[in-house]
Amino acid sequence: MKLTLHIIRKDLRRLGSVLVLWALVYLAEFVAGARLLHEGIGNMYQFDRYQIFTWIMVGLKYAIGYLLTAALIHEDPLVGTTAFWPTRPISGARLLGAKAGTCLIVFGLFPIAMALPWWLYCGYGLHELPLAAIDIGGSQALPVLIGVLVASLTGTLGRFLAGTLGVLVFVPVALWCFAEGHPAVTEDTFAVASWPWPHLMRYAPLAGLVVIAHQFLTRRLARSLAVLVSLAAAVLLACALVPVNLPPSGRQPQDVLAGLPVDDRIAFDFKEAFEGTVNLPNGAPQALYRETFSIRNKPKDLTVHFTKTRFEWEWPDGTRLNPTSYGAAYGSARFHPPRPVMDPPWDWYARVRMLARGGRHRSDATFGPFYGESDGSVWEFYQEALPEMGARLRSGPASLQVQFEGYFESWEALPPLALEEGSHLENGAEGLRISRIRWDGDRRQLDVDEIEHHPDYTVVFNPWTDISARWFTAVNRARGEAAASARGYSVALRIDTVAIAFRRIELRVPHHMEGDKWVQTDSPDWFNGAILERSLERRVSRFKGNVTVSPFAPRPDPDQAP
Amino acid sequence: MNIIETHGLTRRFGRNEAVQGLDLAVPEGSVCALLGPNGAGKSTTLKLLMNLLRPTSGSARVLGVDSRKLGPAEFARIGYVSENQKLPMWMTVRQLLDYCRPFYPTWDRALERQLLAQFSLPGERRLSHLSRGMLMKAALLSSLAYRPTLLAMDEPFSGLDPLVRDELVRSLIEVSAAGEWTVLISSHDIEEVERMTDHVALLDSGRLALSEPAEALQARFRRVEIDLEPDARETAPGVPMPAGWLEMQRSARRVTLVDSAFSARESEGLYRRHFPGSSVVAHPMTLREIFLTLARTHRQDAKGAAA
Repeated sequence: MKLTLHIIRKDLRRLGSVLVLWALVYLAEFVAGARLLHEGIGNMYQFDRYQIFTWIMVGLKYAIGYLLTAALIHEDPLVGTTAFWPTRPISGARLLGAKAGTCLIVFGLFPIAMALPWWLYCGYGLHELPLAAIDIGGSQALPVLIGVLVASLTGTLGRFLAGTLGVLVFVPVALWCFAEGHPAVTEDTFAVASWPWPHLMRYAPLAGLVVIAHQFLTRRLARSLAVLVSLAAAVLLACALVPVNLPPSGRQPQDVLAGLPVDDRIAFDFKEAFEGTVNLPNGAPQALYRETFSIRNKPKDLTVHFTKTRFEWEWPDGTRLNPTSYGAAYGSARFHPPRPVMDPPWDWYARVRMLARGGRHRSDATFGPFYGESDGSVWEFYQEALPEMGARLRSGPASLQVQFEGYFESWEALPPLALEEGSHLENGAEGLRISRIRWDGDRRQLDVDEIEHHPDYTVVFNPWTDISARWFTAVNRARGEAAASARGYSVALRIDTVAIAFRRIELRVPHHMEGDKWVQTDSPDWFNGAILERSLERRVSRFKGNVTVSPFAPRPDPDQAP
Repeated sequence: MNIIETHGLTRRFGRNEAVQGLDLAVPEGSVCALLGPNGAGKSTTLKLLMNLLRPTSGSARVLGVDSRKLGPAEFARIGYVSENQKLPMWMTVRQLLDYCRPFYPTWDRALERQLLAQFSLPGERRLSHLSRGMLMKAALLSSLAYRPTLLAMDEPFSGLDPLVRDELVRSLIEVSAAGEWTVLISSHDIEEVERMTDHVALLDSGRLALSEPAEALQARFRRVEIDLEPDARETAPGVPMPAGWLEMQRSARRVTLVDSAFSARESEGLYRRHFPGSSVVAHPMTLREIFLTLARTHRQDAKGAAA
């Protein structure tokens, strides 16, 4: 251990100057972020410039980090016969341990240490800091793994860059060829039965680690390359042959729900089922089944989120069919509330929430506004599956057993915000400030600066994905009316897990029903004395439900009637 | 006891056999010179011995261990200095020593200080700023300070000017005299090696041409000059010359040859039998002369065999 630390110290001293450069990039990013937050976002042009700057900094950070892996490994090269260390009392295992330790320090602890002041400046607390640390460390893992792999199989920077080029060109092309040649893989969202990427993401890093370890322990390049090619082939073969059993829930880990109390009052009722077919983009037919269920005794003012739905068909001879045996069938929940009357009370909120953030293989979504009085909720599920599943279902009368799991959420109003320039709201690591208000016809345009701990990198490219899930509502208490916000312009940038968004939000003067006509409230007086409200989702309880449908006799899908 | 033993050691690079069936033994405590022209396979042999390359066939034992299994325990007793080795050039001499020291339980600080002074090495200067000679000295120092059982050096004098080369040789001689190590030194700079070596192995085209103590080698090699009397009778044409006579040349009344099997007692008679009535003078040869003679002879033999 002492000698391993000795090598780590040597490597850190060697990388010192590059680390200083790396630190400067972090520092530049943080200075820009702090300035942005301190001075306010200002306008779109200014924000765009910041956004471009942060992209350049992010690119530099990854480029320097990637080259650091080469510098680190090539310091004690594993290829060739001229290295210093192999004729010294240093074993391959010790060197591997030392390099792993240095990687941990350089690509794990160092970025965290560099980001810590920034995080503290942004108001991160004990809840956000570990998550942000995991996030920032995790974001380095893949490039570091690829860098170490390529560097351990090359002896010079030139070869390292050539190898990187090979990885950048060859791997995507090979994967594309594989995906094209794989019959079950399509671009269709629902064809999930044997989608190979989860396998790839699971096994490819493991294969990379095996090759790295082999090269460190043996220094036999030809054999390591052979191991690499064999493992790559094995991983692709595994992806092709082994069907993927997708987890029922994407980003909603069950253990998060474990602490919630169980609400055992609710019950589900089967309403009806339909049968049809649908053609995938590649022309392959898929069986399509739709089932609708309603829920009883749902607590008022709570929204429903499903984390797991399991469908299993059983025939009298005891044979069963479930998504596991035919791959995970796609399940979608649609929330159909009764059509609202547009005379909402003052505490009316409009909401949108995406559960799985557009994940390719699962996108359960609950759409639409929730109204306190509504309790006649109906959910529609549908499965698209391989044709043989449809054939099996048509082969004889079956019973259907459905298990539901999920949780209830309440919407909690955050402290209101005065509808005036400069007013701001803080909630832990999240903050919001109205930087500018102006009139545009009958609409009031708000420029809002927002800061949030955000683990999703795609927020930079699609700032509406989650950060904007909280819609704003202008409430005029005196009149008992609310004006929901409409989408305006939104951009976001991300500086080490901190998402900073600039939004232009439009608040339309509300309409209300007078008799059978929509009437627009007089403007601009309506906004005088109005306040801006936001709401936050909180999980309050979880539920489980079972429904048996016997016999399962779906009707032809009326939507597909000729 | 032999510190190094190889049996049929062979290394191929594609179709080229760099080392062919090498059977070499380096006795403990000797200073063995591995000589040969460029491309003879000296560096490859050393890399095979140091487990930097794996043999295609055959085997080598170093310090009693199969060369393919040499590990930290063995390398703690081996010093390896090579002209091609990539030292951490960003370090200063002192940093290099500080880095190497903890790996060797037998590191001798007093010897380190002594060698540092003896080699006149500037401790605070980066390796990248050292001359080639200084660099070799630094490498040597980092390989001597733990008193290795075996010191293997691959072309340590290559590219050095005569003055530096002489300095380095002097240093090596001083160090060798003080230590109890076995030294294996590969070089084509025979004159430099000659001063310190006591065992010689000659490689030619990947094959071992000879391997024996330097003293014995020099004792059995003589450059012989035979002056024929005007009425002297020469051995009849067709009578075979002894196999140990190499590079025999005749000009007018003088015959010169290299006797590779010289014996103070028997050679005189042999010369007289072949060249009766002649005056014979036998000169001792330097290692360089022996090496050149053997190299030329092997090259001619190879050409003859190819023809």
